[in-house]
Amino acid sequence: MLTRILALIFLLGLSACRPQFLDTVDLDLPSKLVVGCNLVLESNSTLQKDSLFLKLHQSAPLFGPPLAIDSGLPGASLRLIRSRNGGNPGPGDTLENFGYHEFQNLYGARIRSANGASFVQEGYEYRLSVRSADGRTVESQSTVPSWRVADTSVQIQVQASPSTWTRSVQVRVQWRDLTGSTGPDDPGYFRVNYRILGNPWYNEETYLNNHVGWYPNQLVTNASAVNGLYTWQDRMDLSLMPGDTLPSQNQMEIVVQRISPALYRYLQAVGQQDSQNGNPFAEPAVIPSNIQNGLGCFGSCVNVRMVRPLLW
Amino acid sequence: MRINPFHWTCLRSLFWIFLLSTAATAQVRRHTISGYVKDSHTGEMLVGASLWLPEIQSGTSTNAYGFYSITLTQGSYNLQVSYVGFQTKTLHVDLDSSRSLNFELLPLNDLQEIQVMDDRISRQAREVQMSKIELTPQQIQQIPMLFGEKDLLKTFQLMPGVQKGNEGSSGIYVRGGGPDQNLILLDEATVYNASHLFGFFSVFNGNAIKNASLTKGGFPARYGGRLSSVLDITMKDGNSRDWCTEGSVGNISANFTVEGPLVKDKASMIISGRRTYFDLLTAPLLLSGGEGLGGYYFQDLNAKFNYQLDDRNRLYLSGYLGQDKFYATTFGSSPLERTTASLGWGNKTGTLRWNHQANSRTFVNSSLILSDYTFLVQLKSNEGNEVFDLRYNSTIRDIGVKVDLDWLPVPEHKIKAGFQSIRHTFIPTAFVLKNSLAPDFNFDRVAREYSLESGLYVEDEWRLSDRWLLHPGLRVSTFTAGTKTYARPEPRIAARYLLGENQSIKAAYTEMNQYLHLLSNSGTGLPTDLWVPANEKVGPQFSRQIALGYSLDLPQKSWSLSTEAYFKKTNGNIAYRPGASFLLVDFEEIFDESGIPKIQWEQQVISGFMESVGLEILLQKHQGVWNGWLGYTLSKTDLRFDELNGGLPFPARYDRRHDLSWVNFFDLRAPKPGRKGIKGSAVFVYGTGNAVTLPQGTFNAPLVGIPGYEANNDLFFGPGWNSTDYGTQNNYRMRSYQRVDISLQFTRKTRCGERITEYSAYNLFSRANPWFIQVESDNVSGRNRLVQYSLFAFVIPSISWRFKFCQC
Repeated sequence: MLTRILALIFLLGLSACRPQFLDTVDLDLPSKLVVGCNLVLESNSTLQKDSLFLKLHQSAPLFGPPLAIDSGLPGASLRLIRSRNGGNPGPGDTLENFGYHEFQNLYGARIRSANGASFVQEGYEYRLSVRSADGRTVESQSTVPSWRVADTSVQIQVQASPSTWTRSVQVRVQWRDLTGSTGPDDPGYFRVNYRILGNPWYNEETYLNNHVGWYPNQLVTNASAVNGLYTWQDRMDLSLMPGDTLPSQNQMEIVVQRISPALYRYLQAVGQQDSQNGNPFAEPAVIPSNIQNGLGCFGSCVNVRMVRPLLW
Repeated sequence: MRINPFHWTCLRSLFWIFLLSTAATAQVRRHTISGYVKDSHTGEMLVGASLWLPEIQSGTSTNAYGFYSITLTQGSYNLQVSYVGFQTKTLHVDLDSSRSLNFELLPLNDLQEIQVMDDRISRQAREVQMSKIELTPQQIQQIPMLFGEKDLLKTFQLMPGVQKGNEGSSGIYVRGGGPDQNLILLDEATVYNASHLFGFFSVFNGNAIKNASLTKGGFPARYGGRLSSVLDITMKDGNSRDWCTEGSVGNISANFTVEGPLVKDKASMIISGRRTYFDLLTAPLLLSGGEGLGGYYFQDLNAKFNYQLDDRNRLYLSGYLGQDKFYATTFGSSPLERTTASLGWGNKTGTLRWNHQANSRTFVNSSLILSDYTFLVQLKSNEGNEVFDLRYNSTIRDIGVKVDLDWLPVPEHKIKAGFQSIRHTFIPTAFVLKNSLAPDFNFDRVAREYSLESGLYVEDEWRLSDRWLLHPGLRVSTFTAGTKTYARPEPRIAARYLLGENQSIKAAYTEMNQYLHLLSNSGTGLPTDLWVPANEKVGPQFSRQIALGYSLDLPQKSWSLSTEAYFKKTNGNIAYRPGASFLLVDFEEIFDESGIPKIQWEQQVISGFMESVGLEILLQKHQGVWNGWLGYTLSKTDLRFDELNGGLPFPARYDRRHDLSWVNFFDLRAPKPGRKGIKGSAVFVYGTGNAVTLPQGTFNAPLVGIPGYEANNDLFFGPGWNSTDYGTQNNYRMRSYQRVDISLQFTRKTRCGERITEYSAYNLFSRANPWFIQVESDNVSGRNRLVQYSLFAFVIPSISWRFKFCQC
């Protein structure tokens, strides 16, 4: 009898323990402007040869009317002002003639002056302000790193495994950073990118690690330096179809970047979010933003580009 | 060691004042009365019993082993000995020489308990110790609880400054600190995880507990190692006069206790066990038939033995063993195919103590202490040649020694000194092995870390005058992990000033260090927390706390009022780095070929600060037909981590602006032969809603900084990453928490014992309190909405039955 009573009470309690759908709250949250812009400084490069591009769209609030997360925002006014060492901007230090390209919601402006000088210069601080057609305003700033680099070297090693038709390509890059830390916020952040050129199957228009989640160790901090000398290495495995033949020679392009702290934190968080891949034991990766009142990243970097032969 | 000039100045000043005052008082002719205070029925030592001398308005209290000592000038005195729930005894003493006096107090019966005032409450204002809460087993037994399971920690949650976590949880958050910042001692052994069933119940079996106190601030120097609180629990010694049994049967568990004399008045023992019958009741509801089996249970076993070697020496041996386990096994189509899963955790503690009374003024306790906490998840699946094996474990194992000295040289000074040393062994590693071809994986390849934690302390309760009482102390703590050694002084000081007969103001300042961290993962509901030591990469936690208080006693009306304001600042708090995870999905990511962890926990954590400020009010009515307390806390707790929330402060998850508990006991009718006694209780709790991070929206994070995807003049900017905008940390408040519980107890006295039947209701008004909130999409409108889920949205009735019988 006692067992029956206890079982009955337990079942009553169990029925009450189920989570109950009890209440809903509609919250009216505003959509935020999302900005993506990176100032690139690189000698002998096609990057930002003529124009600087900025991506502008808006976020979709979780509550309220549905809104596409990549909806375009034409009619915005953009202004980029540069200054050096806190000085006042002078003539030619303001860039605001941005045009809107509907494809990809991009705004672009020409950055070469008549004498060929770029608007993007190392050591300058850039202040960005964006005002959307509906009156929302966001601001941000970024300083293009000053970077002195020496002793760059690249080692490429290819290991073949004929039975399984794979090629393992090991890339090892070294460089010496002569600039070092420029302050507590910028101890020296780097990123390395590489791609194979001229391969019929892997003729990449984009870099192999263009999606940061593919290889987790693309971002490098000064903690990995020994006497200012950085060593970075990665390995990629290519699988071939039986009967495929490899060309006698390809090229590998490697780009080493010194990136601004905001860009480092942004890319790091994006990589973490990508690598979580539904892991329930992972902490949420919050994408940091240096866009005041908005989302996204206004970053800057200085690139060193190297092309080396790749012997299969 | 870090000793700043302020610390030195304070130490020097205290040393000289102490020498001068001791020299001055040493000239007078004095004698000492010392001994023990016991329960006359059970022979149990009474902890904190009061000895009061009305003629000189002074007194003392028994220590944790029932020992007291008081030194007086030659003369005649009336010595009053009292303890909550016992009859006060008064003895006239003509003191012309030192003597030993042992007291045995008679328990009040229920009728007397209602009518007789306990004069101990009249001296709360006189105590120098602030921020300390004591609970008696009687209070714990009378408060209504979820499923009728009496719970020590949930009773403490009803006190100001102590907040609960989620619905039903037994975890405590003291003055803004996390659950890892509470030092939980069971007979001096550390209990690392004090919860059963994911926190719904605590591990402490009320039948085995003699005394429990929670210190929230103004920590005496004898305590160290945690920042927020010390919960000191003493197990019963065992009845040394008669054999007794005690037990209860409730909705989800039953317990049984037996205690008695092995050698009358010389040696006694107690064994108490508790087990749930969850698995028995739920077996038909879970896996059934030939497909598999599964269930959950928790169990506890407390045991204690003591032996009095002679009048001055006594040995104690106590232990605790607790375990939680979920288990499930499913079978496939062939006998070789099966999947077994288990999730378990448990504490083991053991304490061997030797009490030695060196002389009438000196008492020494030496302890050897063992503690072990293990958490293990295991999942194994065999399907033909395919083997899936998952294991995740975390272990912390302690072995320690401790010596405490009580020395009462003159009436103005009560000195305590001692040292403690603990060797910790940590196994913080967690891993996953997926579709392994090596099912016999060598489990010994897990990483181990060792550390040594030590503390040396001295403190003095120093009566400067009739109004001033000072309690200075110093603890020097050291911690060695790997090649790194920390050594830090921790000054403590408390003061009391009597404003009148029954009111006082108090102040306390403490510095504390905590050398152990608990890594808590916020993404899961499992107890996947890992204990890890401070080392050369991650430093210890440190706190400073200042508290000011006012205390008022109204003994004639049995009321007391205590108010305290505090400010606490800690640094070195750690949390998982955003995106970090201990439990990776690829074995190769965790260990290299030689078995050395590639990903170390230090790389996964960030360090930050916490600030908490608050005001606590406790109004108590100690005795009478209606008694109980009203506790209110106004507080604010902020966290700050450079890597979280843009480096800006944000509210802690359990930051609770208002927290109110109103506890009422009604002693309606005392039991008599042929008539049941009736007691009732009603509890109301209110708390501001928890702070949680509510996502604000989704957005496409643009691809920037990656060559090939940006600004190639061909306008190809890439698709970006679909991301969540979380906004600021803990940016949303859940709704407030409110609950009313009631209970009625009917007691029937028999010739040799009593039987109690209790009916109780948890959440009487079926309020839907928030448990968690979630964003869900409405299928009709396509719009998202916020949905609140409640765990116990209806009244939970329960019935329990208790009994106690002794030899008669």
